[in-house]
Amino acid sequence: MKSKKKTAKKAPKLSPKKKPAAVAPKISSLEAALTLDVKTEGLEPVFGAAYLMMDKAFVQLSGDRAGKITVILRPKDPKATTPKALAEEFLSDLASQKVRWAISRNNQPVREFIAEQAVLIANGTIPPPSAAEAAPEPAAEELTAEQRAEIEKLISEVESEIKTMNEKKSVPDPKGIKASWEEKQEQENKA
Amino acid sequence: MSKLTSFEKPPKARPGAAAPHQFRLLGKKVLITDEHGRWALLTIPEYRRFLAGIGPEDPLWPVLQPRGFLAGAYDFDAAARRQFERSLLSWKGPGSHALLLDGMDLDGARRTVEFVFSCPGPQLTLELVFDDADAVWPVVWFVAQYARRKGEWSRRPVFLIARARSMSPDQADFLRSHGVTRCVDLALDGKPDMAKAPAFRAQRARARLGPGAAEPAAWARWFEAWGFESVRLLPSSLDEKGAEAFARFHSGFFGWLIEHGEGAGLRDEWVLGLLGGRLWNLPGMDILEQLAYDGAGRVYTSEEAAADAELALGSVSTLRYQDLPRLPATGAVIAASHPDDQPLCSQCAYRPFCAVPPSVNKKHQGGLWGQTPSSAACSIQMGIMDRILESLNDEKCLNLLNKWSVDMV
Repeated sequence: MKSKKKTAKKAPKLSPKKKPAAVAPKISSLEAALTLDVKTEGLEPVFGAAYLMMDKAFVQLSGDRAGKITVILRPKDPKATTPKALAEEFLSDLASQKVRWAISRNNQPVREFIAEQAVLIANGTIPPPSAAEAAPEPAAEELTAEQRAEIEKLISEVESEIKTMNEKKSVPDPKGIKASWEEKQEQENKA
Repeated sequence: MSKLTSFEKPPKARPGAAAPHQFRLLGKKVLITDEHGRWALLTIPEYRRFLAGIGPEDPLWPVLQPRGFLAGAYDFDAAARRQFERSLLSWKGPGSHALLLDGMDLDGARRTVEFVFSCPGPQLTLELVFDDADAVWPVVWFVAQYARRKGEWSRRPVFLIARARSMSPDQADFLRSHGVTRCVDLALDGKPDMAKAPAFRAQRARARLGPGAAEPAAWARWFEAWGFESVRLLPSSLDEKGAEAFARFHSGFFGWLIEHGEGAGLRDEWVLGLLGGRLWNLPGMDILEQLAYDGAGRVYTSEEAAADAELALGSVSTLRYQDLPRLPATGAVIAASHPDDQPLCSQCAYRPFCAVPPSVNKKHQGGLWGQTPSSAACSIQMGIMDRILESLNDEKCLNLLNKWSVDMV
């Protein structure tokens, strides 16, 4: 065991990591400007954090996708927030965006595999999860002559229903004898 | 803090530790959800540990492993099955059809019902929407009878709902005797008068909050007292103020249901729709859940889209269901409705449950895609989900959801 340990590859000595300089926003009374290194921050997290600011700020992005991007934040409502607060919020969201994108990147092969398998289930290459899912669709119906006759009958019934309705309307009921519980409630409420 | 929430000191995600998930800070806890609606509430130190990688000796292991959150112990077959069941791969067709009957004649009604039954899907719901039953009664009468018969002929379960502001007791009786669920359109303002009856006896209500709507618990009691089975609350307006007022009211309303729901028969349609966990369960989701038909026989992507010429799909006389995929409007609304395609939704912890219908985005934000960070509709749904997830540690809430056949364990 000891010798194994000795023969194990020694990790190369790393030169002390250069810590990225903290992003210092330039803040004026109108806007906050942040210049971000895409290699350090990542392009997607910068875009993601910028998108999330859209309810409070006008966001302008400029620069080089492979180098440095400048984000300019202007409050939509200067009474509700300040450029400084916007810059702080952007940086906080940017940090969390990096975590979200890291989780997403770490799992990209898993998600692709799952999506592929699900498509195979849908294609029938893999058996579906339950018989219910595999149940055939109801066939498009063709109306029989009998059913067509029933529709005609139904329509003539509607016509007689309309007739009855009109007759009912013409019978006066001043004392509200025929009024149901709901109608009486309504009348009482109106009173 | 943005809508997605962010850490003061973000944790580090080690590759190979955590399986695909989204996170959200809820108070001092971190809610994590996977893509298929399974969830866990962790403390911030627990979440850091989880992202750094845990082994079987860790107390979190038995909590997270069966729920599929650990990359090292991931059940790929089960995940693929869930992906199939919950994604559009399992979608069968729009299940809900809103028939806007005002101005519709009998011939139009017949063609509309025939179009509805040309749509595939294991079951169909026809919602007959009208203002005053007297004005359209023959059409209501005909649709109720014809749809019932078509259901029998095609051997598909058919659910009929009549939604109106007013109808007479005779009309309500007729609908009841024909198995039509009645839904009343209400406007809630101030406090309820417990003695005041609704316009007609109904099982369901769509209640739009007025600017002065107050005492949600008292309103919940009112709905319960008048025999309602379910309520869908609607905001007074889809802006920041409307969303805040709605969130407060809904929170109180749902709170009453948690406290008294086990003994009461009242259900919250928002909670049921969102926790259904499929895009085609979300009420009003364009094409996926709903199609709408106006009095002139035009077909729209949803009720919210009615009268929007850009979201009109054609006429019931000429359109065939199988033509829908080829229409530009279909592709546009389906792409815009999927949470994976929306920058904010794709990272949101509520992605397995929630999406804003593109027609709502178009109406209130000017485009099908909307701008989720400033969307009041998104804030409303997020607020409802926050309220539900915050309550899941309460046994009463779990019992209530269990009673509503929602499995959130």
